[in-house]
Amino acid sequence: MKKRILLITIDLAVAALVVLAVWIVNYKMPQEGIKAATFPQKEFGRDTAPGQERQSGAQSEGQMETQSDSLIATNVVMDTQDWHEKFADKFTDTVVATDTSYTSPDLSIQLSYSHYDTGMLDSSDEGKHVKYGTQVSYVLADIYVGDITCFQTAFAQDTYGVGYSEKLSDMSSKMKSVLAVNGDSYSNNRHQDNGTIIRNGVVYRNERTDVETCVLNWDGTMDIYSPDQIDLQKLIEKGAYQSWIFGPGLLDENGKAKQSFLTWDYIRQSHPRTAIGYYEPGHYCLLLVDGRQESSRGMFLEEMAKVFEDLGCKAAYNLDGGHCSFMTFRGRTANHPYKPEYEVSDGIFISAKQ
Amino acid sequence: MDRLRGFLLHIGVICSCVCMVAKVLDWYNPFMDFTGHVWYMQIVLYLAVIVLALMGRYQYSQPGKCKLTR
Repeated sequence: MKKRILLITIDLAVAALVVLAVWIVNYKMPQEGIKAATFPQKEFGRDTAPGQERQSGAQSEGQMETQSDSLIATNVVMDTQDWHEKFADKFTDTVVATDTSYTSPDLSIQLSYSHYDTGMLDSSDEGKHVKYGTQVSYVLADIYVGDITCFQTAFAQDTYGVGYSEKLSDMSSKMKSVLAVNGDSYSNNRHQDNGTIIRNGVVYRNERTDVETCVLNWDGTMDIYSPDQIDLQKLIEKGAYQSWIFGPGLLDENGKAKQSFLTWDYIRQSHPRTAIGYYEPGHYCLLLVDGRQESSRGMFLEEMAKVFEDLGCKAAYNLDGGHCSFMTFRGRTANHPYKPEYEVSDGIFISAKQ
Repeated sequence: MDRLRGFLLHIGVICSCVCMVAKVLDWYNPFMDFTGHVWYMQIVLYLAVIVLALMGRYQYSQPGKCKLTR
């Protein structure tokens, strides 16, 4: 009997080692990364005429050479309206910064904190979330940019690929960003249909997808595509600037909160959340919901959708949450994560123009 | 034969555990496709089950030798 128990224990231990080995080899070890393309700051400076349409990239067909691979750059189609004039009341001639606000000639960020009692426990997942109570707290960053290049993304270790991770605070420091949040953790998406990744106007991946894709265009508009709507050539022609593949989209075409969401069951439970909202070209918001703690259980998708509907957003999209949810503002942690900072694979960075 | 049978049973336990863990992890995050990354464990499990079944069938078909030994 003892021998049998010992043998079964050894079997379980071997199985655990195999799972650990699979996890390390397939998800943690860096694998054939592509160095991120250099962001062409000089090309899209203030002397770029609004409404100017041109091919970005080093070569005429929009091909951009990087150190290790040829990447496709999307068309740059800027908004016809000058956002510095459109949002003139939001910007200041000099940098004015407080603990919860930042304004400059190109950027305006206002942080607002909210804490309330939902009166509703999360009884899903066999009641594992009940211990977190009914309170919810979040921080909302209201963002106006004078130039779309103030809104950037970056890969961990400046490398696209699996197994590359970095603390958001370190990435923010390197980017010299004013505000940063985690992205969609694109490298965790390891199944066959893992979508289209466009970052800073460069296409890194083009696969089919079974989730909604959020696309921020060079002209400042934001679109959320269902899985069957994604067409890379159309994205290139329209001028896609950034894309994210986590989801789901939270609002319908009328800006009303959706009642059903294209995602899997675990995401429907209450969690810490990171989400992006869109009002109009040049005006966005980033929502960071704390969770998995007594002071804030996290939000259901329906609750988060309602927040964006009440804000008046035209589109809103859920990014990776859980212990990835993290926001930094002027070098300090802006939210209240339930665990120490986690290394992420990508982030969104709001920077003043250099 | 008995040693081979014992070995394949252990292989079956290990592969089954790995595949079950992958399924559970996929429930939390289907994007990560853990099941897709342990496909070879599934193949080994299927082969182990087939061989065990054939061995059992062979032993069962032998007159006077059908009792499985511990």
